[in-house]
Amino acid sequence: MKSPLNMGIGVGVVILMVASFFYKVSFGGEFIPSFGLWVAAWMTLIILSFLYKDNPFYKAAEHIMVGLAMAYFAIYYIFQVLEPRFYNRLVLNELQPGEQLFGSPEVFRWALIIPAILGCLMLTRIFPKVAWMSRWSIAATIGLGSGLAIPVTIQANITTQIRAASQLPLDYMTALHGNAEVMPGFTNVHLWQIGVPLLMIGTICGLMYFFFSVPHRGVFGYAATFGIWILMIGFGASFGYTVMARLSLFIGRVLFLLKDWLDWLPT
Amino acid sequence: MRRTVPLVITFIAGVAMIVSFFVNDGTVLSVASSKVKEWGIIIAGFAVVLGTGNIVRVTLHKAKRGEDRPFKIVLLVCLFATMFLGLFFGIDKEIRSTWMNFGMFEREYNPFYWIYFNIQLPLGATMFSLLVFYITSAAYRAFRVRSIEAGILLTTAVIVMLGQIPISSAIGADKVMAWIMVVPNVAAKRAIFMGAAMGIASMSLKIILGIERSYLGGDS
Repeated sequence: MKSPLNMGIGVGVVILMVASFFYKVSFGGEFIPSFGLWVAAWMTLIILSFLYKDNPFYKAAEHIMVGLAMAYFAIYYIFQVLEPRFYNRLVLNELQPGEQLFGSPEVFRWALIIPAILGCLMLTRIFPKVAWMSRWSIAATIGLGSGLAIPVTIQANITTQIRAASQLPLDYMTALHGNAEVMPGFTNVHLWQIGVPLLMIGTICGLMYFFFSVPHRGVFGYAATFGIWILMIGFGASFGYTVMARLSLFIGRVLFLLKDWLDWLPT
Repeated sequence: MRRTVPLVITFIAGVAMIVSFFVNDGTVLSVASSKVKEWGIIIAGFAVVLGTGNIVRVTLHKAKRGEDRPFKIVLLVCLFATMFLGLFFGIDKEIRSTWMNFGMFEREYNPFYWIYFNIQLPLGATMFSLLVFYITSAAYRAFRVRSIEAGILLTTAVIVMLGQIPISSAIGADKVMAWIMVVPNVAAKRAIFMGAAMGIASMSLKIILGIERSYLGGDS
């Protein structure tokens, strides 16, 4: 907002927005729902204005979003986690049946002081002299996360995937016998017959590409090359899906403006 | 004290989590391990408080230096106003009793929900929808079919995009897309997931055993 012209345009846009809202409300719209709709529409238009160029409205909206998102996250965590899991149990003594430690609900209740102390130690990061104490709570969080990650990732991403891949030969035999229902919604049995071996070989070759303990030469090199082709198909599919997801989000916003806000399209 | 205690805490917490996953027979060990998992969630709750405090500190510091001062004030006002409304009225669509409003305003439209629905949601959705323009222009500038791999990536992306538009069934792109998504795409994702899982598991093990210590900071 450096030049008077830009300032004038900015003030004009704000006046236009406010005037248009009151114009709409004066024709029978209810105040609070209409106001919400109009605020949402203004926010949408302000963000879209960035497509022309960076401007103070967009910058303000950007900062509004950061403030709101942080506040929403904090409040959500307070009411969904700290209140039911900590405050209600420790301060209000509202324990569920079966919530006990070493056979005693009281031990369970008072043991909650330990995470509270560790949580408070995290706040020592604000004070440089005792900031080192925050490492204790960080260590607890990192340790819990790491300990949880080992069995969970092995189970979800290795054993489950191996189990699903082991099922493939059985599916392949079923497909060879002409049962097109082997994959829901997939009626072309020939494509499926090609797909099953490709899926098995593709997975193995993809893993071979990630195996760097052996030089990628000879037969191993060919397999790794095929693996990178398969990986490229995966990346291409992800890219295409991401673009279309963003596009559908954009269509959603345009429909919101045209249908909900301006009422130009039939509902 | 500054180095050893965090490493011991990490080890105990990590082992407790692994034990809670494998031992689920109601013994003292398994019950205690599962409670430790709950503690982690509570500790993370305090981290949110720290995060909020940190954003306020950084924003105030920038505002004092005169860096985008009006916008920083907007950020702080939005942050505090929303937090106040959230603490006062709760997070549900209808206002609920919280310790701050002493049970007033039962079953009324919640302003916190109003802010989320009418400001935060459209801002977020439009911000992400803008990416379609940048992702497309970046792809147009960056994608050149210089190798077989780049050609495969580009062809797949185009087919997947074509497969999701209304005329896809007329040109047969929907069937090809469906096949790509369930056959080569699954093969690729499966290989990536397995590789990433092995990486995560080995890194986690290094952290629990105290071999990887970078999370403790520079002077550890």
